[in-house]
Amino acid sequence: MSLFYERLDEIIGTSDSLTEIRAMVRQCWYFDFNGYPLRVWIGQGKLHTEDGNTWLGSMDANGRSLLQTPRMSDGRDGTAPTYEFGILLVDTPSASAQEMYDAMKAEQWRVNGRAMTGYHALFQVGEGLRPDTPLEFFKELTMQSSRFDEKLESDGTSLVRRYSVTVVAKDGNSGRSNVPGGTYTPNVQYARARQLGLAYDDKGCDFLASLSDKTYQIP
Amino acid sequence: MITAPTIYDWPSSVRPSAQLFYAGGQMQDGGFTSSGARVGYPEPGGRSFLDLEFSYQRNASPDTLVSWLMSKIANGNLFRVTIAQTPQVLNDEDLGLSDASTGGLLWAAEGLLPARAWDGGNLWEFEPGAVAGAAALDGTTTLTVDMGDLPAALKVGHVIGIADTAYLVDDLEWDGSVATITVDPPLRADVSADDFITLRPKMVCFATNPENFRANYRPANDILPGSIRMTEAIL
Repeated sequence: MSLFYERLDEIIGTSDSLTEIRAMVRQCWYFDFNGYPLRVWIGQGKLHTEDGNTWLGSMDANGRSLLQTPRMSDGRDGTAPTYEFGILLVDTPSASAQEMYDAMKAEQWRVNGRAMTGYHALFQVGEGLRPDTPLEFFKELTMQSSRFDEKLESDGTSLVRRYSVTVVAKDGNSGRSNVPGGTYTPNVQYARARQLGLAYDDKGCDFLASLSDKTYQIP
Repeated sequence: MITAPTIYDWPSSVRPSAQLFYAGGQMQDGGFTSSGARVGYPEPGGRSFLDLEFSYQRNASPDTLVSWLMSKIANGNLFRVTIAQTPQVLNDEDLGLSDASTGGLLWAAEGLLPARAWDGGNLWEFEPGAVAGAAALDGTTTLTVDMGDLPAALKVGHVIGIADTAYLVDDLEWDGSVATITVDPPLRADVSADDFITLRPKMVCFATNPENFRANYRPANDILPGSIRMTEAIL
């Protein structure tokens, strides 16, 4: 068991008084964008972890996280749900939301196929923003694509344009049904032969009449 | 993308009639027990707040500044606000420096113009401070402060400042003229030994309820800005 869980057990395990239960656990997300890795934690201010990294706080002054994180599901049922991590862009004094939106849109290739990792951070009383408990890994996802939304919304008195950026990610169950070799159809088999540089079509699948053009899901 | 926000200095003529600094951030829900007791815990490294209340501003010079402020605080601009001389700030008298009621120090230094008090009876502004006794890392909560020749007057509940961040003295322990202080919020930047720690803190913050500031505005001779809550901006 890692130090994280040992500490957590210490904090909540044997306490018989309510006042002793002070376990503060927060999510930290590491987005490994190509060339620009980004570390974000769900909290306020900069978090410094014992591995020497600094995480940016995504929470605004009202306690609302600007990074919208989906609920994680347990992957043991074999499904690969789509997780979407969105952030609403806001105006800053030196760059408007639109400028930031355009700049991010121009760099969206940095997302594809990159990994993102979720961790838990444990805060003990008096540690401030430099907890000495190592982060605990809990999820690894692969970023598939990004999505850029702009829409007009009414804020009660006037119409405002809102910009949001979303990263679409899947966990390791994604693509498990795409077994090596893929689907056995005549056309796929011809293509495979061409890839190998053969001058003639591979007719090995032409007679799989009852199986042709069907995709079989692994149960 | 790095953004460098503009920070405005809060106009000294728009003086709050009451001001309260408090730290520790919001309470977050921890959960409920089977008997229905609510368990809350503080936001880790939560922001500090500054409540400002105003009385009537005379329609002389402050007026246009209030008008300027009404616009500027409305769109999330950052302000550098001096923590007012309330009991939260260590006063000159306790430091043995001056009569607190004069709000300043009369210096006899050479070459000052005017040589004594200003025409309005105001004295020179000055900034008493101490130095950091040891380096401290960003995000930690312990700070050592060497008061030097000043009396060891700092107490729990005082507000001190480093650069543009104000910290509440949450706990402290004296060893001669050196105090080991637990601060809240945690240090927002690295502190090196001998860094200046001011006893006249300032805070960079933004208004969370700017509409309140302009709510009482009337086209009259005297205007009354509404009370606002400023929230620490973490830079």
